[in-house]
Amino acid sequence: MDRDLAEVAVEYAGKLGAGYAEARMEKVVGSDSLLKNGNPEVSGFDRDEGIAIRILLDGALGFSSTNVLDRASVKNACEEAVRLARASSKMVKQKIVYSEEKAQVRDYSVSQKQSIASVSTEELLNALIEINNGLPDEVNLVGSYFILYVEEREKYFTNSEGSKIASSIPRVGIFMIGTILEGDKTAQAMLQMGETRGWEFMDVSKLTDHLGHELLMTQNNIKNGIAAPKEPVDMILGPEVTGIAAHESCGHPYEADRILGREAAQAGESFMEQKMLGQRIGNEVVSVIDDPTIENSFGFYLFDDEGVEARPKYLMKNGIINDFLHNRDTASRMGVASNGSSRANNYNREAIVRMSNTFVEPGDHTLDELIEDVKLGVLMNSFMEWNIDDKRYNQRYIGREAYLIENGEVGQPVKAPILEMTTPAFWTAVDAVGKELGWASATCGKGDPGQGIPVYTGGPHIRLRNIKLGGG
Amino acid sequence: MDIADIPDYVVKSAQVKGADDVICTATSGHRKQIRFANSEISIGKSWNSVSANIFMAKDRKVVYTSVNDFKTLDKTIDDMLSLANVMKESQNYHGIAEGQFSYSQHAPDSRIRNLEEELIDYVEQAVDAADEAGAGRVAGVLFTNHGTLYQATSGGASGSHTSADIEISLRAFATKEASGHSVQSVNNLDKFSPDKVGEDAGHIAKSGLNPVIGPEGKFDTLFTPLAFANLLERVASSASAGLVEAGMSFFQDKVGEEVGASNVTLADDGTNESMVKGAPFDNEGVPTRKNIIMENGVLKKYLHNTGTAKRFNETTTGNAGLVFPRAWNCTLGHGDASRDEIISEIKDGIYVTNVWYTRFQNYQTGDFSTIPRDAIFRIQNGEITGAIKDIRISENMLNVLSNIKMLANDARQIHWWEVTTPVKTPHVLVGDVNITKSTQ
Repeated sequence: MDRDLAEVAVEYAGKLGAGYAEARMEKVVGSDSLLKNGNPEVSGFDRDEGIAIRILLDGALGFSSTNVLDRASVKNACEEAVRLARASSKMVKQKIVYSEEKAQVRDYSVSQKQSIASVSTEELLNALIEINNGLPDEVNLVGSYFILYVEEREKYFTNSEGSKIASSIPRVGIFMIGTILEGDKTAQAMLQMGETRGWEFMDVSKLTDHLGHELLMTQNNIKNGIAAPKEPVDMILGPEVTGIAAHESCGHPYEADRILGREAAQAGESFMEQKMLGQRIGNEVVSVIDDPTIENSFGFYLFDDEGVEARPKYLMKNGIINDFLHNRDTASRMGVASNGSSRANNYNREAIVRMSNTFVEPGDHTLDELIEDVKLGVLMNSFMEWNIDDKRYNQRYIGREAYLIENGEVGQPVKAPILEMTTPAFWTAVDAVGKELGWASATCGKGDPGQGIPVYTGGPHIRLRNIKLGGG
Repeated sequence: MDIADIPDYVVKSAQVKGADDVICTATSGHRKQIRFANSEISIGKSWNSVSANIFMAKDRKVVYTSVNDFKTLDKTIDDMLSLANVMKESQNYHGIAEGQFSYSQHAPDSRIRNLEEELIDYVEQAVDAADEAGAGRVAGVLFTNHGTLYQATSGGASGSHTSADIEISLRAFATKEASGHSVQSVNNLDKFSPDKVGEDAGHIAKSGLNPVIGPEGKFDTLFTPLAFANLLERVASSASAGLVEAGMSFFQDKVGEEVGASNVTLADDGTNESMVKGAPFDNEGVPTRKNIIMENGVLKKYLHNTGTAKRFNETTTGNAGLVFPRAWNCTLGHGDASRDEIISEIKDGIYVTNVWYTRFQNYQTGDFSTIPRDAIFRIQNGEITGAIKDIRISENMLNVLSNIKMLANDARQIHWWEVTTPVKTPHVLVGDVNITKSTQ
C-alpha cells in the first residue's frame, strides 16, 4: 500500500481550500468458496485496493473515492470532493463541525496463529466439503448453500489534524442456508459464524458439530413442535435472540445519526430523542453494551474510520438510556465527544455511525434458575424470520428452536412462536438476566449505497415475564 | 492497455494458457450522489472506478475473480489457472453460451455524466416542492450513474454498452410520524422531474397526519407501486433457476402451475429501454430479451443461464449473472382502473404507501413479513377515513399473488434503496392480507 498517496490527498485537499481533510486507503486480499447442495459451484479470490477522500469546506462535506491509484486520479478525486462540498454548501443550514478529538498515530494488527495469507482457496473448499459431509445423517437436508470466506484488510487512515493510523485485520466467516424436509413440511435455518482471527478459526469438527446441532434442532422443531400457548407466558430467550434484540432494538435506535435524521430516507430514524438520555426504558436488571475492542470478535477494531480510539459504551445501563453511538459529526451536534463508532465497510464507502459488538451484559442467574420458577413459558433459543420498523419500535422474532416450559421443566418443542412487541415493552418485561454470555455473528446493513458490516450480537439467556405471543 | 481491450486480451491469454471457458467483463463507472436530510445537504459524493471480472473454467473447475489493478492481469490469469488446477470439479457446470451475437443498443443520455452543480438545484427543487405540499422536513438521495461495460467470452461473444441514469428518492415528513416517500429513476434527463417527486412525497406526508395504531386481522390491502415493487422484487428473484436449485424459491416445482390470480402477468425484460439497469447482453454475452415469468397467473418459466438451462432441459433466457441467473427488471401488467376507482370498491381495507424490511421465514414456502412505513391509511366504504401506524404484513408470497384482486392503470418504475432490481408496477389490490401488530 502506497501510504504517500493518502498523504498527497490530504495535503492537496487542503490546498484546494478544505478546512479538514482525511484519506482512507484500504487493501483487501481474500478468497471465497461456494458449495451448493454439496457441489463446488465456484471459488475465487479478490484483490481490491482503493482510496476515499472526505473533506469539510464551508461546513459542507464532500467525499470521493477511486480505485485507480495514481497521483493524477487521487488528485482528481480530491478536486471532485471539494467541488461537491462547495456546491453543496449553499444548501447547508447548520454547518458541519467535527468534534474535537486527539490526533492518533498508531499501527496495530490482529495476531494470527495460522495466517490467512497462507491459506489456499483449495483449503477453503476442502473445509467446506468436510463440514458438509460431516453433517449428521439424521438431518434430512434437501437444500444447502454454503459460503466460506477469508480476508485480510490493510487500512491506512490519515487526516489534516495529524492522525496516522494503520491496521491489518483478518476475518473469516461462514454462512449457510439449510432446507430441511420433514414429512411434507420444510424449514430453513440461516446460520452465520465469523471472527476476526486467522485460519485457526477453522476448527472443522467444532463448526460441523455446531451446524449439525442447529439443523437437528430445526428438524426436531418442525417434526415434534406444538402450537405456542394462546395465554400470556414467560419467555426465556437464548443468546442468539437476546443478541438480535440488543442489536435491533437497542443498538440501532441509539445510533445518533438516525436520531438526528441523517438516515431518514433509507434505514430510517429512531423513536429515541436526545432529550431521552437519562430516562428509563427497561428493567433495572438490563444493561446493553457496544464494545468494538473484544478480541477476535467479528466487529473488532481499535480505532474507528475517523481516527477516534474505540471503547466500550453502555447504551443502556440498569434500564436507563445512557449513551448513543456517535461519529464526530453527531457528537459535535449533541455537544459531546465521539465515542469511536464511525465505520465504513470499504474504501468506496463513507464512514457512518455503526455498531460493533452489541450485547446484553451478563447478570447472575444460571439457566436453571431462570427456568425453575416459570409456570408456563417458552424457551426460544434461536430465531428465523425477524424485522423491526424503521423507528425501531415494533419488532418481531419468530422462534426456530423453541420449547414449552411447564412448572419449571423444559418440555416439548414449540413450533414457530412469534414474539411481536414494542421496544419499551420488551426491555421492561425482562426480570432476570443469565450469567453465560453467548455470541452470534451477523452482517449489519445500513448506508446508501448500502454497506454490510461485520458485527457480533450477543448476551446471556434473559427472562421476560407475562408475554402474549403473536398470532402469525 | 485501454480498458476496452482488456476483455479480449484476457480471454485469448487465458485460452492460450489452457482455460476451457473464459468470460471477462471490464467496467468503467462514474457515480455522483447528493444526500440530504432535514431539508439540507448532508454530503456530496463521487466515485470513479474500474474493474475487470474474470470467470474461468478448466476441466469443469470453476473460478472467478475481480481485479482493478490492470498491471496484474497476467499474474491474475496465472493465479486463476493455478487455482482451477487444484479445485474440485463442479458437477453442475455445463459450459457457457457459444456464438457471435449482435446486440441492439440505445444511446445513453450523455448530459447525465457531467451534471454537478445542477444536482444541487434538483435537490433544492424537490425539497421546495415537498415543503409546499406540506412537509416540514425532507430527506433523500439523488444519484447519477454513468458507466461503460466491455465484455468478451471464449464462446465468441463480444460487445459493449454504455448506460446513464439519474434517480431521486425522497422522504418527506409532515411530523415525525407522518411521512411520505416517492422516487423516480430515468435514463433521459428530459423526463426527470424532482419537483413532482417532492410534491408527491409531501402530499402523502400531509395526508398521513395524526395516525392511530392500526387494526389486526385480514384486510383488502391496496399497495402503491412503491410498496408492491418491494414484494415483486422477491418474486422476480424467486424465478431464478439458481435460487430454485438452492432451495431459496417459492416457485420450486411450480412451472406450468397457477401461482397467482388470473390477472397477474409478470415479465423480465433487459431490453426495455424505459427501465434503468437494463443491458443488451447478459454475463455470458447472450442477448437479453423479454421473458414472461407469469402469464395470467401461471408460472411459465424460470430465468436461466446456460448451465441451469441444461439442467432443466431448457434454453438460456439471457439472464446469466456472475454465478446465478438474475432478473434485469420486472414489469407487472397493469389493469384498467384508476387508483381512486379501486379505493371506491374497498369496503373495509388498508392502503399501504411503502414497506421495508421484508424477511422470509422460509424462502421455499414463501412465508414472510414486511413492515409498512410512511403513511398508511384506513379505507372504509370506498373512502380513505384516516391514517394508521404500527402494523405489519405477515403473509405468504404465493397467497399474495393468488389474492390479487385488481390492478390499476398507473404503472410506475421503482428503483431505490429497498428495491435494487427495477420494478414497474401499478397500484395493486390484494384481498385478505394478514395484518399483525405488537401484542404489547
